[in-house]
Amino acid sequence: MRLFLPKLTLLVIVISFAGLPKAYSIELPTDNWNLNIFSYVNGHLAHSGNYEPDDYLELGESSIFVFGRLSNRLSVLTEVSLLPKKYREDTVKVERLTLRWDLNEKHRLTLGKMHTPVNYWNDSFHHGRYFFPTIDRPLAFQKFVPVHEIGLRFSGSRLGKYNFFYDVVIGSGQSAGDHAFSHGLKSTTLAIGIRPTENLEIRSSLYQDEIINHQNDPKHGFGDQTNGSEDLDWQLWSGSVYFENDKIQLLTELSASKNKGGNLNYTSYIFAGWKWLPRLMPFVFVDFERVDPKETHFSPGIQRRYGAGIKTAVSNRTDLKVDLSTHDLSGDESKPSYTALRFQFSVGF
Amino acid sequence: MNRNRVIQPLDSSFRWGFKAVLKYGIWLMVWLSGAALADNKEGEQVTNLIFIANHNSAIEPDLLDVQAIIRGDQSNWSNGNPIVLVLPGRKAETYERLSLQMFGESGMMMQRRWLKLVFSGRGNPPRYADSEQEIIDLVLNTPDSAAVIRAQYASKLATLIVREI
Repeated sequence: MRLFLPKLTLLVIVISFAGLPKAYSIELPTDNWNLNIFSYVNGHLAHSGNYEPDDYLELGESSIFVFGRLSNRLSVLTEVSLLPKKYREDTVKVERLTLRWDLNEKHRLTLGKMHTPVNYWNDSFHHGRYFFPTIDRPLAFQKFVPVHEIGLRFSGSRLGKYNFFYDVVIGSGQSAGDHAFSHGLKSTTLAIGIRPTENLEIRSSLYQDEIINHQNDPKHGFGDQTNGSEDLDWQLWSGSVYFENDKIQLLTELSASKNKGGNLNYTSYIFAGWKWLPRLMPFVFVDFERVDPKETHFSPGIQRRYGAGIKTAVSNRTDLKVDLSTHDLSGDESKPSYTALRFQFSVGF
Repeated sequence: MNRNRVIQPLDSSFRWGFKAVLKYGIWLMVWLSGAALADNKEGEQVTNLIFIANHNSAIEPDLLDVQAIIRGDQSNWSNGNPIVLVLPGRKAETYERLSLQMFGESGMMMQRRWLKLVFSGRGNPPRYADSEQEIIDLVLNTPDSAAVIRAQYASKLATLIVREI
């Protein structure tokens, strides 16, 4: 499956280029195929008293996104990210590759590697920094949020007066990585929500998974370090509120996770932006994460990030975000508290 | 593990932050000024818009949720077929008018919203046309397509579903 995914994705991209004879710009879709490219650059100028973090300018991952309509009911979607070896071990990664069957006007079935619908951010922004409200993803993504899942997803939307929507995903679990169902069906996601007005979305989700041999898992932190091969059941609850109109943009992402024992970890991310001018949006954000001292898998500690910045649409295809933010990463001994002036220049077309 | 790390007092960090902003602020201001000046939200004449669709199913125009279709909340017709939405491109006459009425924002922001919608996998990629005539031709020749145009064209579109919005 691991080798199969990149090959299949490459095939989809080649087909999409072949299907673009009438396109006079990459932004414009042809009858059945659509291609978009996203990329970004990050800059970081940081300061702290006894500890001087490195200033840097780095190239971010570029995403190639392809949507293809195979028939009236069947469509394929893929997102591949590229990054030079200098920044990432895997230069090419398949982030999403799905086949979607529209069952009817309101219900659909999706199969493949997808982003889990656990929260608004992961289900909407994916790897597109161009859409991110802030420079970073919320802290919860570093540990708790299961970004990808290979599995089967049932979805429905626009149900009832309040536009109820749901997603049910049965998947391979985080330990399987790109090896689909290598341990059988291990994870389940249930997400429900409403869009009571055109500007507001409220969502809640439950995710449960079994981490195989959790001491060897890449996200294993400072908990019980043993040589055993213990599998670990864990659950994640997430809640999202997203509001956007012509004046403001608000996003709140909450999550709480637990595994065996009495531990409880939680995170909260709050973003508020004011659309001062059509192209200029000053914003503030607060991001908090607490991992229980009794936690046995993730590294315990408290992390905070908060700051203020400005997001500006430099052109129709480019965005610039600048923020002045403080990072108190108590859980990360190698990066003590510091303040940074950061920018992110992103492009999407 | 370094248990003796020193957390820098916030006032020092913020003093440094303000200095950094001042030092690099000139470049920031240039960017922001450019962005603000580049915003040419033109005051267009208020015109009535109509929704048109090339769809065969027996459907009462009044039952169509035009807002949901244009905003991408509804991406399939009631028979399950995908809605092929034709949106005005940057050169089209209704580019700013439609986005202002449906999204309350500029045409550029409408395109961004749709880009996000497609990228999230929730919406079918729309097709963009550079003029109203091109929009009409596309809808006339594309089954299951839909668009919004100015009301003055309504009389020429007897074969389509037409609804005032």
